[in-house]
Formats: sequence, structure tokens, C-alpha cells
Amino acid sequence: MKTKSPIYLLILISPFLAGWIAIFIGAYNVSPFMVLKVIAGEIAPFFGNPDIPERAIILDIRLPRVILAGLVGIALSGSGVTLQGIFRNPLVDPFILGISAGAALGCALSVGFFPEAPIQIMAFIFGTIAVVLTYTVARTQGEVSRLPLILTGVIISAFFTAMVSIVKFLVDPHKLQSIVFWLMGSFSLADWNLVKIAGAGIIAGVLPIFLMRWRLNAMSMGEDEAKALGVNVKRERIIFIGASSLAVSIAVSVSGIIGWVGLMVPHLVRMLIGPDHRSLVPLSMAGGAAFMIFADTIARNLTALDIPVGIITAITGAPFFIYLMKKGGKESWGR
Amino acid sequence: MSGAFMVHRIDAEILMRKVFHYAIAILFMTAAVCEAAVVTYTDKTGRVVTIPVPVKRAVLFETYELSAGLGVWDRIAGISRYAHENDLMLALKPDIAKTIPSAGSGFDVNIEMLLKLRPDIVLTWTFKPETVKFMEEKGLKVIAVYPESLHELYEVMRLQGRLFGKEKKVESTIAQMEKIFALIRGRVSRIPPERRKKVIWLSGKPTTVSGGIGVNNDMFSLIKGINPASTIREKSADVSIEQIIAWNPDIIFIWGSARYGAADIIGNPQWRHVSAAKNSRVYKAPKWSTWSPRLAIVALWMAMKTYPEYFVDINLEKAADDFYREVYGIPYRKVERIEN
Repeated sequence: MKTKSPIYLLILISPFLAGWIAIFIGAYNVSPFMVLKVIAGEIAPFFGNPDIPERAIILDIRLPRVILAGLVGIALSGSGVTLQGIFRNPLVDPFILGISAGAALGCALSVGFFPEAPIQIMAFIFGTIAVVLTYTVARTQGEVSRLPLILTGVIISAFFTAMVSIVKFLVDPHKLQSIVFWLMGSFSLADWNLVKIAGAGIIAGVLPIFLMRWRLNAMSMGEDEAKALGVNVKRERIIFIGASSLAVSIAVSVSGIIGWVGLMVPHLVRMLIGPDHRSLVPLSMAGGAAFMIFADTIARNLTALDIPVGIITAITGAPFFIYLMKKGGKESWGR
Repeated sequence: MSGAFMVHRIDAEILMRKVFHYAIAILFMTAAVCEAAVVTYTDKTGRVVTIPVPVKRAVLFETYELSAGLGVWDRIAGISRYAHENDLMLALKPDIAKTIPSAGSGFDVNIEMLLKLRPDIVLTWTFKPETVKFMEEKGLKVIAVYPESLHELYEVMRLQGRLFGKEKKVESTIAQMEKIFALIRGRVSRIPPERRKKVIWLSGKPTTVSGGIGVNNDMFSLIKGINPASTIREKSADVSIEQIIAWNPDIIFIWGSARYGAADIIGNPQWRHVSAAKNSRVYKAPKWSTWSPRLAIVALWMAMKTYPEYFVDINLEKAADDFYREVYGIPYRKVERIEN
């Protein structure tokens, strides 16, 4: 293992830095002193912490929003790096297996036809259905290998997207608006409930990836090499795909569809520290969290409006990615 | 100001033509004389449309609630598919889905179906300008509207009155609306400025508010409510919950088609410092369109919820029932009612 450089440490603590800054900024004017006072009062309640609006702003609005953004960033970036590793393709993103299209259909169905079914649950169910479908269909080709899986993901995504379009076409414009907004991805409704759901689901998803991260090195060398190294490729691929899908479906269900993070952050981290998954995985997760908190802070403070964060990630993501490609994504990927 | 109302019978010319027609009629003692009246209207896209009136076959993709009370069902050749599920349309014409075909909606026009209906005029909105152009290229007369204020709503109502030759009915409907607005104005004008309430209107999401443009904002001005979001020069805008807490509205209205209700706001700890949530003054509006004469009843309801002490003697049910009977000829109980 390489020696730890300062950049490792910086990336690891970056989500906490971003979060600390984000807590101080918002539409409601709270002085930095008041922020510290509220936090101190919460940590040491015997000094007294009256229930003033500032307290609700910091503890019930900004804090859960920052944590949720961080969790979703971990899920998207962690899954991105995992799937890129097992598919040996840096252009794979966490939505490649159809999760986003499936989740979108779940949302559309919930808004359009089953108002009693919460969007989050429907998005999760359909996101999972899409992945399972992708995997099952790809298996009809015999052993599941990389290309059929990616191709099937594209096909299933296209199919689910078409279904979403049908629902959008059928529902009345009022409901249409809800679907469109959800698809843009936002943390505007973040609260502690969502943090609990996301926290449990995303940790359950990314923990196995984190613990098994060293095996990704073998997997990313190719199937034959991995087998030669004694890795049960088929089984581990299922574990990795299952774990990432869980994390991403949960993330999508609480925040809608936020693109680019899972593609961009692992790429950047890979450029900074190299392709060793033992450090690449945790640092991608940390970087994802920091980036997401950062992007969301911009989204809610750039104007008087609360811009969907998905727009911010796409706007920053696309040019940044082009820059990365030009600068030499090739070398860092090693092929 | 776009969409300026320009219906005019090109006075002198028309008068001359009329005189000429009457002269001929008298001369030959013929009974039926066609009145060559036309409506010239500059629509919201700035196009000038000239249509011989009264129209016999109109297709209404939008603002169909404005024609619902005119008693011209036989001249509505086609309607938006959403009208088939509209509570007012169903109350007035229960067999609407069978008798008035749909050629799509303002979003999606089925052009073949539309051409089959042979409309004299197609009324749609400006939301999809390319559709307007497309229909025009197919030889149809199209008027595109998008009322963004009460004033513009009246304008579109009057346009429909002229198209169908039902000016009187439209004027009486407007008079009914004005009667209610006058009642509201009379009451709220007594409210001293320092006692005026801050009100906001939430739509699709609890953080999507109505800004300083549009019918909702007009209603707030009418009832003398202060809309803190009116500084945002948009019809609606997504803001953060922090912003809403900073505004601290006294009363919150929720759009009728929203997926959440008053209980979701009142019960959410994030909103606990918002005066409206604290005092349980969060109300969900009916699903009625704001492009409708029914807006008057919604305004009365909003005024009564905002300043109940000024309306103690007013019975909303009674006012609504009178209004529905007068404008549409049906009792209030036939349509979807206001919940609270």
C-alpha cells in the first residue's frame, strides 16, 4: 500500500468541512455566532437551548439536509466507483443498470395512479425491479458478463423511460408537474425522517462495498485474471451489484435523480490517488459526500430560489468531465 | 401588456355593410340574412386572428370552464381530454365524454382528429407555441390565450362571449364575480394596514410558492393579504423552507391538486415556528381551475379564512350555492366542494 499523502486526509475530511460551512449558509439569516450557540446548546443542553426559529433552522432544516446530501453523495459515488471497477469501464455510472429509469417509473405511477403509495417506496421498488430485470435478462445470454449486462441496462432503461412517458402522457398536467420536479432531483424536502431511511439503507448498501473493496482490484483486472487469483467472479459480481443497487435505489428514492456525481467524483479521485480500490473506494465516498453537500449548498443559496441540485451537478459535471477527459483520464485508467 | 383586447367590429365599415344588408333584406323581403360580423382578436402570441361569428364549431383545448355556463354545448365541437374528468363539466354535462369528442389537449393535439371535427376556431394556450403554428399551417384558425391576471381572465371570457354570441351571459357572469369581489373588497377595506395578514400559496411541493405574477397573487391583493413571495417575479418558484420560515406567513393556502394536505404542514416539526402552522391556519383549496368564474368563490373562501372576523355573517355554502345556480344553473352540491 502506498504511503498516505496529505491529499488522502484532505479528501477524507472534506465532507465534514463542506458540511460545517453549509450549516452557516442559508436563506434565513442566522449569524455565525447564533449557529455556534445553537450547536453548543444542543451538545451541552444544561446551558439551556430555547426553541427559537434559529434552532429549527439549524437542527431541523440545515443539518438533516446536509447529512442527507452527504449520504446520497456517498451512495452515488460509492456505487459509481464499484460498478466502474467491475465493468472495467470508467464511463459507467450508478444508473447504468436501469435504477433511475425504474425509480422514475415508480414515482410516475405513484403520482399518477396510486396516490396512496408514497413516492419513495414506489421509487425504491421499481428501481430494484429494473435492476433485477436487467440482471435476469442479461443471464439469458448464459453467464453474465460485462457487455450483455451494460447493454441490457440500456435496454431496460429505455423501456422504463418509455413507460414513464406513457404515464406522463396520461396524467393531467397538475400531476405531470410533480413528476417533472421529482425527476430533477432535489433535497428541498430533507428532514430527519428521510435521513433515517437513507442512513439505514445507504449504509447497508455501501458497507459491504467498503469492506470488500480490495477485491475490486482483482475484479477490475478482468474476469480471467480475477479467477486466476481465486476470486469467485460470478458471486462477487452479484454481491457488488446488489449492494450498489440497494444504496442507489435508496438514494434515488429520497432525493430524486441526481446525475453525474457517480461518474465524476470517482474519476477525479482516481486521477488524484490512482486506481487502487483500497483507497479509491473510501475516498470516492468521502469525495462524493463533499461534492454533494457543496453542490446542494450552491443550489439553495445561488439565488432566492431553491434550484434542483440535479441541475447544478449536471451544469458543473459536464464541463468538468470534458476537462478531465482532455487532461488525461486515460493515464489514470491505465489503458 | 400582451393580449390586449381588440375585438371590434370595424365600426363604419360594418355599419355600412349592415345597412346595405338590411336594405337588401327589406327590398327582397327575404327572411334569413347572414350577419357578416367578425371578431378580430390579438392573442397572447401577438397574432391577429379574424373569425366570422358566431362560431358554430369551436374546439376548446383550454379555458373550457369559461364557456361551460354559456349554454353552447351544441357548438362545442371538441374539447380537451381533461375536460372529460372535470367536476364542473361533468356536473353540467354528465355525458360529455360521449357527446363532445376530445382531440387531445393543450399539451398534445391529435391533428387528424382535430381536422375531422372541422372547427371554425381552436382555442388553446400559449404553453406550446409550436402547436399553435402547426395547427395554423393546417388551415385552422387558432387563438392562444394564457390569462395571468383577473383582468386577462375577464378578457378571455369576453372573447368567448363574442365568439359564441353570448356577450350578455358573459357580462352577467362577470357581474356575479364582481358582486363577490365587491363584497370581499367592502369587508377587507376596513382592515387597518397593521392588521393585514401575510399569506402564501403552496403548490406541487410544500416549498413551491406563488410569486408576484398570476391569478393567485391577484387574489391575495384582492383580499388584502400580503404575499411575501410577491417579490419573486414568477408565477411560482421553489424556495427553501428557511425562506418560508423567514417570511413567517400567518395563513397558508395549499393548491387543491397537491399531494399533501394541511395536516402534513401542521404536523411537520420543521414548520413549527411558522405562524400559520403553529396556529393551525393551513387550508387546502378545492381542485377547481383558477381559469374559471369559480375563482370568485375561491377568493371569498380565502378572504374568509384569512379574516374570519370580518365575515362572520357570511355563509360560504350559501354564497357558493347562489353563485353556482346563477352562473351555471346547478346547485353547489353537484360539484366537488371546498373541504374545510
